[in-house]
Amino acid sequence: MNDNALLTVQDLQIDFHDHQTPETAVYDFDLTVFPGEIVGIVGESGAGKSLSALAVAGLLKRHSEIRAGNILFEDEDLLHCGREILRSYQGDEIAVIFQEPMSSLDPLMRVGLQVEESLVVHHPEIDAAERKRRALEAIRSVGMEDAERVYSSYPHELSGGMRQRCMIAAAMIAEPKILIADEPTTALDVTVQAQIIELLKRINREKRTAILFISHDLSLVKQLCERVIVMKDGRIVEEGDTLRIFEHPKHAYTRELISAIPRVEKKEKQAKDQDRDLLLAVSGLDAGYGRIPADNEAGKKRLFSLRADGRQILYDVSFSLHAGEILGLAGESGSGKSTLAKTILGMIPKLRGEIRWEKKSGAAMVFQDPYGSLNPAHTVGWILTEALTKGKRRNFPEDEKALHDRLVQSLEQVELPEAFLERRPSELSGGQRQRVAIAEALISNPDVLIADEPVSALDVTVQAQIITLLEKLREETGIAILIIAHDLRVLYRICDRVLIMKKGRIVEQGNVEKIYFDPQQPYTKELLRAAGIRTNGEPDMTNGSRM
Amino acid sequence: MRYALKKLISAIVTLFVVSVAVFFAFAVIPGDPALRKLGTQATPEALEMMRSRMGLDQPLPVRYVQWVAAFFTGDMGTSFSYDIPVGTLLGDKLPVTGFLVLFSFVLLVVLSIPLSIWHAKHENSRLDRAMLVAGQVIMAVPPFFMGILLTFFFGIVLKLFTPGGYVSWQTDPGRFLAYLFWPSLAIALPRVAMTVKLFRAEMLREAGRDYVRTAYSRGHSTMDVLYRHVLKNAFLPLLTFLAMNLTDMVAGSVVIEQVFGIPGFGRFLLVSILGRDYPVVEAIIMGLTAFIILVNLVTDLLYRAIDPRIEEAS
Repeated sequence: MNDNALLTVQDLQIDFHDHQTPETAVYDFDLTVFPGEIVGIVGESGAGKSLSALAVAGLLKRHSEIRAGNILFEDEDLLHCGREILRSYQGDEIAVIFQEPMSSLDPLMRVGLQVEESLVVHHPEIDAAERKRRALEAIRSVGMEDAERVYSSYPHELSGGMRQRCMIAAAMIAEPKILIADEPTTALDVTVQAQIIELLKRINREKRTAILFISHDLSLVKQLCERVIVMKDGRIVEEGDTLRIFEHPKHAYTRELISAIPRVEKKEKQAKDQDRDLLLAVSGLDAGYGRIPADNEAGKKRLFSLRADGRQILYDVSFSLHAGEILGLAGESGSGKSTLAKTILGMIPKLRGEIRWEKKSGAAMVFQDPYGSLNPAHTVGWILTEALTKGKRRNFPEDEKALHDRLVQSLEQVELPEAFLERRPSELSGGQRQRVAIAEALISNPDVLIADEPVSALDVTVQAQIITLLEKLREETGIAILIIAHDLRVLYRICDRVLIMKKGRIVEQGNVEKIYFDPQQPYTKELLRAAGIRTNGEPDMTNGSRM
Repeated sequence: MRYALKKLISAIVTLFVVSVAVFFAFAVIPGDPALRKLGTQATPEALEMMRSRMGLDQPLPVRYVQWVAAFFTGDMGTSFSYDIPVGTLLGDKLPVTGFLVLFSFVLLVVLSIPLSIWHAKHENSRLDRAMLVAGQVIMAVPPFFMGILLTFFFGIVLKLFTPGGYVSWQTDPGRFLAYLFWPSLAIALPRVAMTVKLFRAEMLREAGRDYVRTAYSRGHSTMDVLYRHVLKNAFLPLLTFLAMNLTDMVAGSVVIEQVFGIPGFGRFLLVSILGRDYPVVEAIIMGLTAFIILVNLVTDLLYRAIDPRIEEAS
């Protein structure tokens, strides 16, 4: 034990009581944080990183229980001091920010009052006027000039980034000694993510607040943390200085994690021949939802009229897709990526422009959430059969044997064994579900696969596997893939060309090498910079050439 | 403002549609009020005269317009059975039923909210579970039977009130209210059990939300988290439920008034329907419609006051 340490955790064991028999979720967790230090904990879902951090903050949910270990904050034993003393630390000395800034704020309470809450609890001697003054100051110090307006807003009136800033303002108002940040940027767009990381750095620098940063994203940890702990399946597998871990990872799992981050390094992609068959040509496409006001009656509102309450999402979108090509569609949330996919498929009517399918070809879609998009009541075999009968009738095999062979072949395509035909979605892991979703999409032999954020809900190592699978499918079947993703690294890894979308318009498009290493538009540059990708020949920040 | 105007117009449209439906429904239902009044022995001439006196010989649309026009002057017609203006007749009964329903609703709110909070605090304790089972039983008891049970235990066995000893509010307001307590309880109890079940579940669900974790992370005690955050959020879905109960209680009062011998308009409505006393029935239905519209409007406004996410435009 170190006398100077701010926080010392020893031999922490956390059990889950969700099922009949308790399961151990975290084993022998050790952690030391010194004042003013930034320590990262990385790992994939289920690694126990959030659980460990929440245990430190005294915020475990009812089904988890600390079975053994010690948590010392300065000289106080937080595990055995009793609830009242623990509470006197929570919010005052130990503050927490969470992954979902929307649901982490009370929807019915003005943001300003929530920012003040720690003062209400810990400093009742401060009167309301002074509290408000401090809240406004805290809101300004997290980078929001319009503090008065933010103070009196409700959470739903603010953007995701602003909400997370408010969470940080609320956490920092009592000037805690340590800030526990549990995946604070995961739900945010990449440019906002970069701003929040900068903000955390600044807070650490200016207030000397120690930060315990939990993330699944190694590149973020590398940007922010001095020291990092790598967790897998409830155990710490490696710990040490961030640069050392990134340059000389000792544990095989750490190496796997690092290599799973798609690298953005200039490479000679084999030039695809340009005269491949044109499959899809989109030109001058405008689309949106609901009744969209014509220009001359915009803003006019009448009582009881069918108001034009719709909104145009896409403006003048033009691009083409060729056989065997992987085309990436990048942009932040709300930029219209998914709307474009739905419009191409005819799920949303277009307003103007042209969508021309060259062959009488089919398109199939794969969605982000492999949990929601597979019918949980049926087996994989049933789901695939269903997809087959809904496809072109002539593909449907004549007898049981042929059908079975067809289903097995379909699973083989996505590298799953025959036994999976009998499984239900709830019995599959996230990666396996996404494979089934891909098999389901491919079973009707489409010429185009549209994949909407197919890997963003998956852990980084699983992400890499799915990307490899998509590349293999393209090689084998010559299918064209339109892949939508907010993660520019993923797109670089897999795509031949990319479209950069902002507010419903395509601001730049072209060959990946061109876009990533010689971007023309300021927005493209901003996106790349936020993702930690250096342009114009600078080496990539996350995966330096020294590795 | 636009919102209020819209609501007002839709309320008027609703009232219009209901008035047409009610008026014409009673016109086509078989049964002759004049025959009812004069008895089967009446001569055709006498019946004809009576019909003409009651205005039944006019064409339907004319009668409808006359009826509606009279409504606006406060004249709700004259009861066929009693030859007394409907307004005067109902004027006696309305406060009785009104008080009964209001009293039941107050009991519902006053009993169920603290009980639900207690349940949520002591989730899964032995008493919590025992009371949930008890609630399930109470829920299953129909109000009229609840009325009989209350009359038996508290009236006959414990002698806390005199069954059938209704005192009018003009005579003695205190004893009037004391008597009304029991029928109100009979109406409220099954609904209290339902409300507690719902509100308890809502609070427990809210307690699992992320913002509750945030509140704990700031060092709040469980009580503070409950009163500052959980209660308000859990109350939102309850509001609709309570409003539905309020309108439903009017229907519940019809039966309870019978059990406790209360001369409210519930009993009066039954008698009037059986006696084909159309002006009375029509006036009561219009009144109930207006009441339901009003309750819904107030509920809507309360939602707007509590939940900032509901915008003017929606």
